[in-house]
Amino acid sequence: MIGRAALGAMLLALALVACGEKAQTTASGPEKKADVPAWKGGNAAFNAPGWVASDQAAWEAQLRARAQAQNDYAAPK
Amino acid sequence: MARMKFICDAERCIECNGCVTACKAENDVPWGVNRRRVVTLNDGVSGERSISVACMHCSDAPCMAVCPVDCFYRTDEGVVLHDKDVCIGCGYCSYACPFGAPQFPSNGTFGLRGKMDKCTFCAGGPEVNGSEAENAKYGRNRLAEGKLPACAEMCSTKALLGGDGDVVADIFRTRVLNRGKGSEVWGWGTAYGKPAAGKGQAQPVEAKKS
Repeated sequence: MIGRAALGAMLLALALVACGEKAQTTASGPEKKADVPAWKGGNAAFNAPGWVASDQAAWEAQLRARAQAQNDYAAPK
Repeated sequence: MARMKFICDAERCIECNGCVTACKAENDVPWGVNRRRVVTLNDGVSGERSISVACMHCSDAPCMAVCPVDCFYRTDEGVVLHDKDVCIGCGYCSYACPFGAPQFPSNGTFGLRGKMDKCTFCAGGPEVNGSEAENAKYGRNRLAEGKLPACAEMCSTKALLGGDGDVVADIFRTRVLNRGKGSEVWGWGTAYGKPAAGKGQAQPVEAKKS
C-alpha cells in the first residue's frame, strides 16, 4: 500500500515537472559587469603624452587641460 | 567634475563629416552603423545649418528607462554605457531615443539584427579598460588614456566640443560673446535661456579687441 502511494507520488511529481517555469526576472539573465573608472587608466602604451594614470583629480585636470585645445580663445602657452 | 557632454556649434559646422569618419576609424564601427551623424537643417536654403549628432548621454536617459534587461549603466562622469553581453538586441532603446543614437548592425544572409551599438563617448564598456575585448565590442577607451572623444578632438573647425560640461559650455559661451551675438543662435536659448525669459540671463557683449 505504502509502495503504491509512493509510486503514485513519484509519478505525479514527474508529471508536474513540465509545468515548471524558469524565472523571467533580470536576475535570471546575465549580470551587468561592473566597470572600472576611466581615471584608473587603461593601456598605458596609448596614454596621452606626458600623462600617467594616478588619481581621479589628476585625470580630471588632464581632461580639463586637454579640452582647452578646443578653445580658440585660450591664452597661448 | 561636471558631466561629460558634447555640444555642436551650428555656426561653425561645415558638414565635412570628419567627426563621423574619426568615430568610425577610431572605434572600428561595424558596416551600416554610424555612431555619429551630421544632420543638416534647411538643406539648400539660405542660412542652412548643420549639427553633428550622436548619443547625448542624457541625465535621465530614456534608453535606460525602457531596457527590459537593464543593460545600461551610467559612469560617475555621466557617460551612458551598456553591456553588450546583457543586451538582447530588442530595439526598445532605439524607439525611445529622440536622437536615433542606438544602432543595430545587420549580419548574415538574413540580415540578423545584432546587439545594440552606440556612441560611448570613447569610454569603452564594462570590459577591462584598454583590453582587446573592450576594443572589439565597444571601441577605443580614450578617456582611460587621458584623452577626449576622437570626434571632438578631430573637428577641423572646432565646431564639435566634447568634455567636461562646464568647460565646453565656457568655451562655447566665450566664442558666442566674441562674435558679438548670441541669443539668436540656434541652441543658445536651450543652453542659456531666452532673453525674454527673465533678467540676469547671459547677454552678448562687444568683443574686446586686443
